[in-house]
Amino acid sequence: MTTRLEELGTDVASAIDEALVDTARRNAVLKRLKADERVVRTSTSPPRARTVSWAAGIGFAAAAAAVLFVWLGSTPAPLTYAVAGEGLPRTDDAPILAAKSAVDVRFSDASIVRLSPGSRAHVEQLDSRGASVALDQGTVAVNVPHRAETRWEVRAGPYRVRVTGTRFHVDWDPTERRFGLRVTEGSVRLTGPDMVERTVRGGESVDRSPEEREASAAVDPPAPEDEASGEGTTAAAHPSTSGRPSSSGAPAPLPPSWRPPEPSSSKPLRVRPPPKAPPTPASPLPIEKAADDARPPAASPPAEVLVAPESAATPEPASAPEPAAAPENEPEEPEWSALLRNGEYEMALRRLDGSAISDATWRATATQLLGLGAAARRLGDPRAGSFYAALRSRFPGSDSSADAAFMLARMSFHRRSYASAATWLETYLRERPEGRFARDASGRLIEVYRELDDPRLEDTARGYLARHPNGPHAALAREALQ
Amino acid sequence: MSFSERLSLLDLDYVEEHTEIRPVLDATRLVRMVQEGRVGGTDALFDAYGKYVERLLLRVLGPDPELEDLLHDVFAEALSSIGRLRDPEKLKPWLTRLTVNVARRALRTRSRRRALLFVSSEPTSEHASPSASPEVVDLIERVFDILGSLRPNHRLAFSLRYIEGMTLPEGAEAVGVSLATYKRWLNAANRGFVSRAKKSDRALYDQLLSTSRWGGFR
Repeated sequence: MTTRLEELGTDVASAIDEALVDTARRNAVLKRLKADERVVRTSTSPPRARTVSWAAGIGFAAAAAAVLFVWLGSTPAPLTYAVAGEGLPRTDDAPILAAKSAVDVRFSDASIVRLSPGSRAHVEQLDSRGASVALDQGTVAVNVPHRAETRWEVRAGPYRVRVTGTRFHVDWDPTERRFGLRVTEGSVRLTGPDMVERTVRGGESVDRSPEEREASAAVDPPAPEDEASGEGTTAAAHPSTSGRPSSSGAPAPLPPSWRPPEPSSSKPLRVRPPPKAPPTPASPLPIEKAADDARPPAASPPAEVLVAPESAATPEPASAPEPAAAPENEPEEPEWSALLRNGEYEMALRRLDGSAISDATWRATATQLLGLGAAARRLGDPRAGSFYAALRSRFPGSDSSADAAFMLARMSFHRRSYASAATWLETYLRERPEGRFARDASGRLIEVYRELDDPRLEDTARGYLARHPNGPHAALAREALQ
Repeated sequence: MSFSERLSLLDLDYVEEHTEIRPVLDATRLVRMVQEGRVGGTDALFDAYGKYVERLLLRVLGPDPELEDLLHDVFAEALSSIGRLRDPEKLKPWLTRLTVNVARRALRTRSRRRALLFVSSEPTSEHASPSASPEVVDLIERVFDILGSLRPNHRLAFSLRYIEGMTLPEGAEAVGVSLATYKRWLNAANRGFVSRAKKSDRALYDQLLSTSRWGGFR
């Protein structure tokens, strides 16, 4: 088992290097380090040679006593703050008003909150690691120097911005219930009444208002081909956090974390209705059926496991045009649908029972089907294959469809269904000879052909070595040629 | 003579004036440069070890919304306490220890926060490179989902041994415990990981039991 854990760890390390190591992150940190004069200045002088003497001993004892005294006699003091124009520092929660000119509030940890003219705020809480500032109205610019144990928060109505060290602006209009956040540097965590907690990074902004939420409720999901790229989770795919100035008048597109507001919201918001009578496919096939029985012919487009009805030619039934104003008594969006939108696939899967499964299979986007498939595999749910099969049926020719073929190959292989694995690997390589899994697929094909004693083994091994002489399957390929 | 060797013969002042030139400094010169507070010291230290520390944090913590802050914390602590580093040759193990301490602090804080507030973690895809394949993202999510259920010390022992690939003595030194304690933590982590996989990720568990295929778990 230890060997298997070592192998797993090696794979995870490579996966992390591929997916998560980020030059931009390091550049940002270096910039912060260089900007942080405090850190640079405290780079200490070289250690002095160790000299032991009675004087040093006494000095050490005195210092230790002093440290002990300080440690016993004190706990970290809460921050204080001073409002520009006032004489004494404050520790209370009295209102801070900026009437006709901006007002700076300086905290004892060197953080600064600047209220723009016409703004009102108050300090809700102070402790040794930070403060909680409530913006009652207007705009504040906040600069919090980062430290190891920072706990800063800015609250604007129902929104909370949690800070660890950064610069940002917050707007809050209590009358319109309009909230705006623009992060200049670093990152913050934002929570609000209609969203899950999320990170907003430097250069990104978020606008929330009832109108925009209402408008975003009417926005269709992205076109299937966009979704089908399988890459839709970076800033570019989160238009609401893509650096758009907060003054933008355009309604914010639907962010992935968007959720319908609570019914108690001041304005009733429209909920997108489910599509009318979605085409019902044959009941999703169990994993074995999907992966084994669907054998794409070698020289023609692969046969689909699920036969899509005519209407499936429109790739995304859910994106059909909608009426401009939906009646308020329309049925609510199913819970699993909201979970899918938020990427909570495992939870969605648990909600998908017999009747909902076919609806979900036909309404989900390509990315969501990939996510459902991955979640099903994780949970050992036999429906994994059917999600991939449905994806191939509904989004033929897309990158996601090819990815699904690769996933089906993997699943077949792990069940030792080598013939099926070979067919799916060949399908993937035919559809995406330069695709993201191409190297892996051709390497795995060597393994499969070896298991099957297939005469194509040598050609495949030669082809692999020609393209990937140092690839992970190179040794196996050389062995196959001996 | 290599380019690096030629550069190392140059006067440090010259190097500092031409900060676009990033020489490969040996640890002694690098530590001296930072300890003396010379211009370019921070860059040189970060150039030499920034990526290593970032990777180590990622391998211990996985995708983390506060990774940038934690990376900053490690170097802020390093820059403020490098004066106490007596043996410059120990720079890398010393930085490793600092990194592991910062990671442990973060794990403990998160563990408490999760217990109190039931905070769920962000999906890995929030942090992953757009070019990362879904399979890679999936693997990371599955493994760190299980690691999230382990105690911080056990998780550290597991990540350093299997993901970072440290030997047992290196791991023990990095977490600052005896070899026996480290082995005990690692055994507990092994048991915890496998039993959690058995419960919540059957596919991964089956792969752990199966023979080596396809060069790994992807």
